[in-house]
Amino acid sequence: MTDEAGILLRVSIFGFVVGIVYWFLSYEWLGTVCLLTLGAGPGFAGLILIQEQRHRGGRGESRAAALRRLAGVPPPDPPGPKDLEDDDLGVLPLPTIWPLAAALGFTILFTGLIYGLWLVILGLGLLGYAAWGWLAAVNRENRYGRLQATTEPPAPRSDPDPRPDTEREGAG
Amino acid sequence: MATTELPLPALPEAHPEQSGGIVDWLTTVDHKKIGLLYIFTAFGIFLAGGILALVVRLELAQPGLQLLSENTYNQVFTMHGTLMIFLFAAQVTTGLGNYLVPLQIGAADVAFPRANAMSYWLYLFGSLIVLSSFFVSGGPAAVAWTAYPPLSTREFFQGSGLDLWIIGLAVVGVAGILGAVNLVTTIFRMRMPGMTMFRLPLFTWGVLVNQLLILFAFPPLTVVFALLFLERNFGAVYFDPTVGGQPILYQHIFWFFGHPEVYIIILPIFGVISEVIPVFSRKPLFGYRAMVFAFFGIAALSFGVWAHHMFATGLVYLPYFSIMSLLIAVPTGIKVFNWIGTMWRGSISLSTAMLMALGFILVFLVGGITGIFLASPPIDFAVNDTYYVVAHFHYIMVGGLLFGMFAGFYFWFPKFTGRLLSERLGQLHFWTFLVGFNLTFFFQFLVGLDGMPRRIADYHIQRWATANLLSTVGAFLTGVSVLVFIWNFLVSIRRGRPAGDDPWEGNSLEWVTSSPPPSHNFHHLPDVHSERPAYDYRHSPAYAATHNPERDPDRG
Repeated sequence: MTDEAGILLRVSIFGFVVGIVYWFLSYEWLGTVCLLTLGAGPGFAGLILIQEQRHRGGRGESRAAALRRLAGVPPPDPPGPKDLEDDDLGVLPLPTIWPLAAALGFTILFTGLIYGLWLVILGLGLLGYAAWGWLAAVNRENRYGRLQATTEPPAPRSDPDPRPDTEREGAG
Repeated sequence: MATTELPLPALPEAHPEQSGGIVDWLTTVDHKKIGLLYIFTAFGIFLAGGILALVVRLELAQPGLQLLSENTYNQVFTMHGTLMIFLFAAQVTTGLGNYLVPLQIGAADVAFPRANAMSYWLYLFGSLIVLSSFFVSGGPAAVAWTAYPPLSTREFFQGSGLDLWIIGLAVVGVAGILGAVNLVTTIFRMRMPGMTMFRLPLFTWGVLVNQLLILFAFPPLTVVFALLFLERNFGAVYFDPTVGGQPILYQHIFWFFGHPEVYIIILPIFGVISEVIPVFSRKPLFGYRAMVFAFFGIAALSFGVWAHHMFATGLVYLPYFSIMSLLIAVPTGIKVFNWIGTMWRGSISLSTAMLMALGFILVFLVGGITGIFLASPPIDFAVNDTYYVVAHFHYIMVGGLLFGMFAGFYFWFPKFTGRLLSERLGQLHFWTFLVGFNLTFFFQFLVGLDGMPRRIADYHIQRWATANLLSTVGAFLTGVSVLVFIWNFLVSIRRGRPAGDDPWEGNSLEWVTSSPPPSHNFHHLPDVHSERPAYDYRHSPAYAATHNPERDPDRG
């Protein structure tokens, strides 16, 4: 089980335990529902993380890793949640106006609840238009890969040469 | 030590790094710019809320109504609380988190950059809706920041100011939930290799727990505002007791959000303090894991104590909420103990950031200890709705948040801008703020214990006048301290001393990259072997070879 899932499941257990204790102490249903929901929400998220880890082929903590943990020995050099890849570190989305437009549409829509149906319609229209533009922009970037990294990330080096590339052996 | 070279974007001319005009800010999806937008917007709202606070203090400086009518006074303190709690305090830490979390975990951006931008714009537009209530007929809401029904029902507040207040805060709530999903996903899924959960910087831990709290606390808030709005505008009945509703229902749901909100505000600040103190004590943080578990202890307990705000209703089970409230002191005490343990026999340098961190511990302790008294129902009954509660709350919120926030600003300003804030002006800022803050709020404990009620525009008991006058003087001194900070910012951003990439010799990954960081955050990343990767990197042969080849141990 990953640390992330462990954290969420502990919060979940807390919510369920406190919810049950609270019910028998107070017989007050609203607080009990809130606390049990606090137990259910993180529990659900934690179970999804566990399921996802299994789906990716992880087998959870090994016996050796568990022994190291129980002995208080830090793991030697555990991997992060994923490997260093272009997609994670070399690609940034282009600037776009659509998040602003979508937020504006959402806000106008909600304000229309006070001032009238015409604002609701206006807000819905803008929100729909922004959503369309947003998806089109994402689709365009995915298709043409405008900010895809062109440089392959070099393999990790243990002792980088401080000299510029041109001065290194074999450079050029 | 190994480093990993990272790829550069293919089209640098299309990159947000290249321009800085208004269009660039309107269209940015860069987490750093969005973080700065959050911080600047929140700070602007803080200034507006601060001006309202000064108006309140002017009115209370002496007995009698001087400036405001009673209704206007209600509107002013309602909007002061609303701006400060909902629109400033909970958002400025989101801004810091937006800027720093990807840097601290070695990521190029947040998980959903466009949704991140939308979160900010929703926050801005929601805030503008709330502020627009100043300009509608009947003026802004006058129902305190808690907006309890039946006071907030249509029968007692007819104007659309309260509806704008509800809608604006609901929009801000949606922004908060969206932002929380983003930051939690970022921390769970975008950490660089080697950056395990228990190597995360404490600030990132604080933001993670804070965003988890938002994820579970904001939905009840949005729901209760939706119910209130439906009741006010569409004839639904939830809270109005005259037609079968239950006002206590609102209080339960509101405080199920309301108490975690305190920790939503303060947990990232705990993270800031946990970053600042080790750096300026030249020691690793004392009890890293205990600090992490204390975060979760505080967060979990904060969901079990909501009804201590409702002791005086007589409708809640007192022992349960009293015990749970008292228990929060344990993980909080662990934190204070560990900060002191970190400083113990450290090589302390009293920079402004460190002074602010020490100021935080001082005022937060006062706020925390006075809160322990309030967890006891008999004492709570005696001082409920008096200025004792106001003072306690402001020692936690104003003292805790602002000292921690300023500590963070002084600490990370060089990373944001590449320049150092003036230490001379910083020290002036700190001392005026410390004196002004304590002058403002300490005397409120005394008048509160003497029975002065909160949320009143006037009082007729002469023995409260001196304390109130001192409190007003303190408030203006605090205002002066904020002006000193603004002056420091304006001067330093133009003419501040160049900071270099790592002026403080920090511990976390943001100090490895340039100041300000490139738009893709890192040109190279060191390996992560502990919770202090920047420290490890500075003491590695790779660093010596890069920064000072003459001292490269591998070259003799």
